Amino acid sequence: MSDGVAGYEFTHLKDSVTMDFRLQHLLARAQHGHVKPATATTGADEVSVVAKVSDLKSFDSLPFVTTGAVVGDTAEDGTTIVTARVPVARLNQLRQHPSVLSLKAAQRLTPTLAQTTAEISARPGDLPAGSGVDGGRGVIVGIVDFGCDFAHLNFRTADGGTRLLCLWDQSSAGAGEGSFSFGTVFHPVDINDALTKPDPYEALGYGPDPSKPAHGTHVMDIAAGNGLGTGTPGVAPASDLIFVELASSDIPWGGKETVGASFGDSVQLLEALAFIFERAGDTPCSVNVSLGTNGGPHDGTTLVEQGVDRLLKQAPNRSVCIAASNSFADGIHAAGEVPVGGSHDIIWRILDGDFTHNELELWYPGTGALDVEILTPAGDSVGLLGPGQSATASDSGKVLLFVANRLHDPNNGDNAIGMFLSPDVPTGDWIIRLHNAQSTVIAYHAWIERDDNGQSSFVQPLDNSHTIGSISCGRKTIVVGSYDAHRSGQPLSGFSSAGPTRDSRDKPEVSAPGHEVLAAKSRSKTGVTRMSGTSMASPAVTGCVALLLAVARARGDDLTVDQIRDLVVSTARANPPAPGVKDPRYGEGRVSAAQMIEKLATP
Amino acid sequence: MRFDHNDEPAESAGSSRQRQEVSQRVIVKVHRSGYVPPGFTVRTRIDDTLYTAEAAEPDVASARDDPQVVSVESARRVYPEV
Repeated sequence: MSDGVAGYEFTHLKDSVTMDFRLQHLLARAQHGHVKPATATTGADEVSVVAKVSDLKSFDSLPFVTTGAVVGDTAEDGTTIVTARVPVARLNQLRQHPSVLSLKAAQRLTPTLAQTTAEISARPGDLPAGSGVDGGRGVIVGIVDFGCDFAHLNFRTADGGTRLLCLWDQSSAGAGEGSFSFGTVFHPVDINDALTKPDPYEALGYGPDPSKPAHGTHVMDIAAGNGLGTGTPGVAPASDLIFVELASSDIPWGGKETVGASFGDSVQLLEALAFIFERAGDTPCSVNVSLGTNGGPHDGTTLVEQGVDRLLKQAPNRSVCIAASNSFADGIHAAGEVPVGGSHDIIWRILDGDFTHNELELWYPGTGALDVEILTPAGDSVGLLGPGQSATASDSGKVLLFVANRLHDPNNGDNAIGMFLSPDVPTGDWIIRLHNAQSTVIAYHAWIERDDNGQSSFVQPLDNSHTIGSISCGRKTIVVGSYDAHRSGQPLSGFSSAGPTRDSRDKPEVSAPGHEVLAAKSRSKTGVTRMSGTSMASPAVTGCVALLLAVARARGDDLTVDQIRDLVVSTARANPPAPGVKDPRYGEGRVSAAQMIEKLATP
Repeated sequence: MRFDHNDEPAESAGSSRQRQEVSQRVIVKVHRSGYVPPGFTVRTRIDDTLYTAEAAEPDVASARDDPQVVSVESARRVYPEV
């Protein structure tokens, strides 16, 4: 029978059942021999469904159904919504089961930045009326990162001009400006002129890497994009912007391990923050740092952390939000105790094919003293180092291993053992054996330095606590963990690092959406791209703080960094996490722009 | 593999990297306001006793024994958290 378009014929489906049309489409393709490919959550020829059932137990007992999650509570009429995976070939059978009242195909969702702003109660309609928040107008949002797409419409005004007050490219070969004597500082006149050219990046002499979506562009959009390009604004869409392109680090070694890696360094990071606050002057300024690393004492005493704390205390209306780090599941932290008169082994695994240097730091109280012995994967002892000693192990003049057993760090008085392995050492399990000849047990923490081109890890003792980034332990910064705002219950992101600091302070302070966040894509003018990480969570809070500062400014108030921190932390939402308990990964809770502004505005 | 004989004092664990006779970027904290160790060039002042600077490795090593210097911290790599 031909009842279709000329040249085509309908083939009526076998076993046609009134069913969700997407599922019918799948059945039709199956009848023509098409096999649905596997996805991240379904096997080949399997489909995810959402079902409304009258008898959950009966549904769950079906042998070809793999139940996923029960959505919400059972309704008053006794029905339950449940997700499941089912073979395509069993769809008809499932739909006809007496317990199944409705069956729908799971639809692909495209999470948008709007879900972030809704989840953190930062949409204009969420915020207290008459608070003066006005999208963060009159406040500067500062971004220290890689890749600012100044041409994207989300960072431009309605008349096409730039929203950037300035852009400092530390990596360019310029003489800088004022007290910052390197790189190139671009002003609005430079950027606006470039925007009139066919290739604004070439015209300016700066642009995001064309080979991949720029991290800094995505981050800045979350914090303060105005949505003129994408249709979806970020948290503080009316704020002014300052961006610092962190210079790519040249420390300490080059070679193939640096290929494809983006990294800056902590000195230039501190300089970037000093630049932003200097340029902001008396204007309230909320800065975001979605960068981190693993090694360090994790007690806020590094000079970069002390420097950031000092900048924040120098003037009111300043804030720095930092990503908590994504190292929770990476095996980069170990902790334990070395018994009196005994020894304790830490196993450090270097994988086959790791062509990078590997580095480790171990910290323990300055009241103790440990000897450290290194054993190779073959079980051979390289030697024993006492407190205050350092040594190398070389072969043919090439240093393969360096160990330092240092006493009394000048910033915290504690002792530290540093170990550095060249790429030429044997791979496998290295043993760091700690010997304690003292009369008291000695507790330690150890971290493996971050290495995006070959991350090594501890085998034992593995401890996911204290995985917060090593520049995230300062006393005045706001550190932000990540959760998934797209899923019921806002579960933590598996990667989101945990506190506390080594000196037992609670970090992160709060958490925000960082999972599958859709925000501005560089070199697209209006496009978006999806990224996940605590990098995405931190700018959400940066934007919230910008809104807070705008309200304070409208009231004629100044806020110290401690007042800002208190407003952010004290108004964070629970459930999750459990109320009344500081969670090591959610922090005090999930940030709420509405509640922090409400608290500020309430006398 | 065995440790080489090494009589030099322990390096800072925070800067346990191969020595290079090139200028390093560092953060410096001093006791006395405005003090700059020999061989150091100030880059950016955070305040009177904490600043970023550049210095060659031998000057950095000497500064760690300078009684006017609290601490010298070498630059660490930082990465996007994505």
